[in-house]
Amino acid sequence: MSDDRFAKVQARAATYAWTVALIVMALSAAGFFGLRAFLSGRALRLDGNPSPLATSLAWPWSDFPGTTPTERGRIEREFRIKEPVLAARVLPWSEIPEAPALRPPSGEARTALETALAEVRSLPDPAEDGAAEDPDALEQRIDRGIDALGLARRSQPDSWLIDYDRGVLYLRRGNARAAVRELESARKRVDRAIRAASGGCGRTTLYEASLHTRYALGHAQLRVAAAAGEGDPAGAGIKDAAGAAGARDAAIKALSWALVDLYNATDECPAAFPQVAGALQVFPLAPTGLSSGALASDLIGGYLASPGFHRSEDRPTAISCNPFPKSSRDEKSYRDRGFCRSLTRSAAPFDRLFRDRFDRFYRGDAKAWDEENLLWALSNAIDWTAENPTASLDDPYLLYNLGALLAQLGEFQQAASFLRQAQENAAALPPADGDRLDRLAAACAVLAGSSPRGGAPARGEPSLPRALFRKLYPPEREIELPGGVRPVEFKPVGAGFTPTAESALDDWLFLHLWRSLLRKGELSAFEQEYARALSLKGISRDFFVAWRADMMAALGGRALARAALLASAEPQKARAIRRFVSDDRAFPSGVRHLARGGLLGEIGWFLRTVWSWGLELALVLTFLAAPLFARSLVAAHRRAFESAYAAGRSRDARRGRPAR
Amino acid sequence: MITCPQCGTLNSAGTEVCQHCGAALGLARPAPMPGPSVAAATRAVVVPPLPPRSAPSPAPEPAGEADGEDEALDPNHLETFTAYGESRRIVTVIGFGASGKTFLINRLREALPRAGRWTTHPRKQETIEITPEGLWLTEANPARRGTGSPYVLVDCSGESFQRAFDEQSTRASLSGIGVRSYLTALACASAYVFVIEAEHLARAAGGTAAERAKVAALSESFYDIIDAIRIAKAGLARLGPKGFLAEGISKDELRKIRALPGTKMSEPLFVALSQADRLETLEPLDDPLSFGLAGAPVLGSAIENRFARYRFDFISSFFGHEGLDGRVDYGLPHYGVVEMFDWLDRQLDARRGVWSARLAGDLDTSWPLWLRRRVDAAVSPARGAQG
Repeated sequence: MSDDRFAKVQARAATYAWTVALIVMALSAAGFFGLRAFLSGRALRLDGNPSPLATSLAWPWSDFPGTTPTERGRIEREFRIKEPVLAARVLPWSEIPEAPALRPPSGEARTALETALAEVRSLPDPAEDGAAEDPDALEQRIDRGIDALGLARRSQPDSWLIDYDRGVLYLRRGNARAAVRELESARKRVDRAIRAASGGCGRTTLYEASLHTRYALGHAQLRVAAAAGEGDPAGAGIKDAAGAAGARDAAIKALSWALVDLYNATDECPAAFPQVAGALQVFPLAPTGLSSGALASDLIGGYLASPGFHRSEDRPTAISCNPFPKSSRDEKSYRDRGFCRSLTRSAAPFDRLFRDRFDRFYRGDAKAWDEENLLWALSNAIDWTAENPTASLDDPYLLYNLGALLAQLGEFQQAASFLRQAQENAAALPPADGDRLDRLAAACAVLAGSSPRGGAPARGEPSLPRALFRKLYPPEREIELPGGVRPVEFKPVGAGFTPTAESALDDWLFLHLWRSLLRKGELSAFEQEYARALSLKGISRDFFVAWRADMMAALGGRALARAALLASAEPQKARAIRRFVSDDRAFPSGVRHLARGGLLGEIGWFLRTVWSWGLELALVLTFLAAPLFARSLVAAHRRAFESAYAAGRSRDARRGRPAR
Repeated sequence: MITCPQCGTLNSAGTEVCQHCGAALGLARPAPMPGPSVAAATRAVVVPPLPPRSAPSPAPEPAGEADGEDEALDPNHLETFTAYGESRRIVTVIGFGASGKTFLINRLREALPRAGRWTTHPRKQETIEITPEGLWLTEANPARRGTGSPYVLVDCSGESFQRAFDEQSTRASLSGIGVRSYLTALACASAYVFVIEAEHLARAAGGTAAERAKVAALSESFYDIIDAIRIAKAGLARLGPKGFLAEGISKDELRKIRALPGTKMSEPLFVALSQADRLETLEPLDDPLSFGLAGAPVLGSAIENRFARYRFDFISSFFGHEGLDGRVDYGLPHYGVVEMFDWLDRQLDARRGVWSARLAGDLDTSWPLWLRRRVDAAVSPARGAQG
């Protein structure tokens, strides 16, 4: 026997075992990554190349992705696009009307009324109230006007003019409840007068009086509703949200009936309005000079501020607009006829948006029903822009509210255009309204993917999202992403916005880039850039994660709709689309389940994918187990075959113990 | 030794009360030898104390099939069955005559208590006879409660063992009560130690064809013994000691099990290459496996085919012992003996079904052997078969 034979054998065994272990580890690692690459290569993907899947989906989609619910929620929260700007040109009637029904019955009454109207005429334009040097003095003057009208009422207790002007002054004074009381009285008087008068030009003044009354009443009710929400004394008596909503609904109806009065006036006596071809054109109304555009603008604004508004509680059912629904003089009939009228008009971009909502509304879509206020706003927008070419519109309030409506519907490019036009006509706007306009215009410009117009100077330091964007895509490197997409920065909105609002807006730097990639069909590149962005510290993770989930849900939903369309004619393509949605983990689980199509589909999907998971797991376990196994095996070899006898002998030899 | 009638614990001869349960032993002593019937034999609770080495219990005489069941049983056989019934660990030491089994047992009696972990009974013998016969029992109990399991070491006399199994070739069956009793006792074991003189193997590896043939014959004999034990184990599991003693096994069964070996025995086997001090010139003797396979390839095959876990190692119970009169000097060094016992103890402690134990080679020697064969041609099966 050779010396130390076992030591040599043990060393060889260790070398052998570890060599095998290393080979196994290398093979399992190679197998794992190879399998990953194989699966990845086999996976269906959308990367801008004309693949069969892309062809099946007709990908890329130029209008995808639209504004996601997450995006819209943030915009509404950050930029208050649901809050319209109202002209609120509630003006007193300072001349005695010519209509006999509205004139004072006697000379004494006329004298008293003239005295009171002199007080009213002496008041400055309400638009200047905010800039009044002595607000207390102004209030005293308004109170004197109210008192003078009160004195005049003694000789003329049933005067529409006194009720109206007192209501207007009360509203100007901030007493909305008293204003509502007076204006309601005025409305009843003028309604009685209209009913008593015969049709034609004789009723023109009555209609003008009525529309002024309803316009003022609408604003008074809006003030009551707003005050109720804010605990203002003006809202006293309204204890709950339902009461506030009732006041708001009454306001909307009053504002809309003001327009009906306008239509009636122009219909019954076109000769009285020689300067306009129709009721829906913007012109000043006699005798106050109130713009008909203000009627339209404030009504649209009222609708924007009234989510949950329903003209009629009757749920919509499928209707035909040809012929028009019959008028039955109720709210439902008013609604259906009004919508049908708008449906027949053409006025981009509102008509497209209106038709889509109109269809959903009458199909029974719950969301469209909940957003009836937007349908009304669109209906009015169509009516007014159909009759007034956009370029000719110069009422900044109307332009603002049309822009706000488009922004609320996610049409930021069009919104930005209307708002820009509003800015060009904003010279006469009060400063507060001008600021609102500038802010919304800047936000919409950014959301539309362009830079905001001039205005406020930029801050010294970029916002955090902008800094992160520059970190990923340094401007000096002129990076070009797949599809030829270049990361482009829009101009910072600057000091006109709070730093928080600017940061919020700068999150769209990423959204614009990702949208550009997706519009080029580069879904894979989007995923890559998205992952890179989310790896950055300080990124708006929650917002982006929710945005991506919305976007993928929309993509999945649209892809499945396409698959359903192809299912009968081209089942192969439909299957490929379903498989793509079912297998790609980027889609939300609900959409993936839907793509699998029920329990059997789930089972099929599991069987199709489980082998790869199992194989991956086995390879990982093999990789981990190989060194442990080698170590244990080498130790077991020693324990099994090493001689305890030789060890004992060797030990004794070291101690110098003689062999025999 | 006296078996307690209450709990079955083996107590030292002359003890008044059971060391385990405290029951009085007086009533049971002295009792006559168990009766001739097998049933009575397996119920026996009283056995005489172990006789001194000079008076071993006689090996059972081979008996005819007709009269086998009337034959009296060795009390030590009965004690083995009792220990089996109590699920005590039984380590059976087998081997051919003069291989050094009794020296090994006596060294364990002396060395185990010295380390402090174990107590043994009976005490070591100062004089060891060369030709003992029958079964000899030694208890090894943990020195402290709860630190291990009690053992019964069964020293199976080489001569008796040989004689009993030689009956196989001369008789039609193994149904004689003496043979059955041996077989049953062997089958009761939880672990085995097979003792074979290292010198024999060294001579066979490098010597003449006749010497190789002699070792090969020994190996074949071992094969038969193991197969008989395997059948006996199956019978024991099925029928218990009493039933198996009554039924026995046939040559047919033996042939069948040779042809269809089935699963390997799970009991660990230690192949003790004894009297290694005589091979001092071949030291360091650090590779017992290749040594064993080179000297006795058939034995190696038998072990590999019949046992799941085993280990070869040299031992020397009394290094340099040369006395011929049976007297031994416990001051002589010993090697591999206590380690052998420790290996068996660890093997029996290893939990079945646990991968770590299997990986560690405690439940399956085939894994380290696989590795060994990859790097050492000396232990390849082909070479072993040719030997």
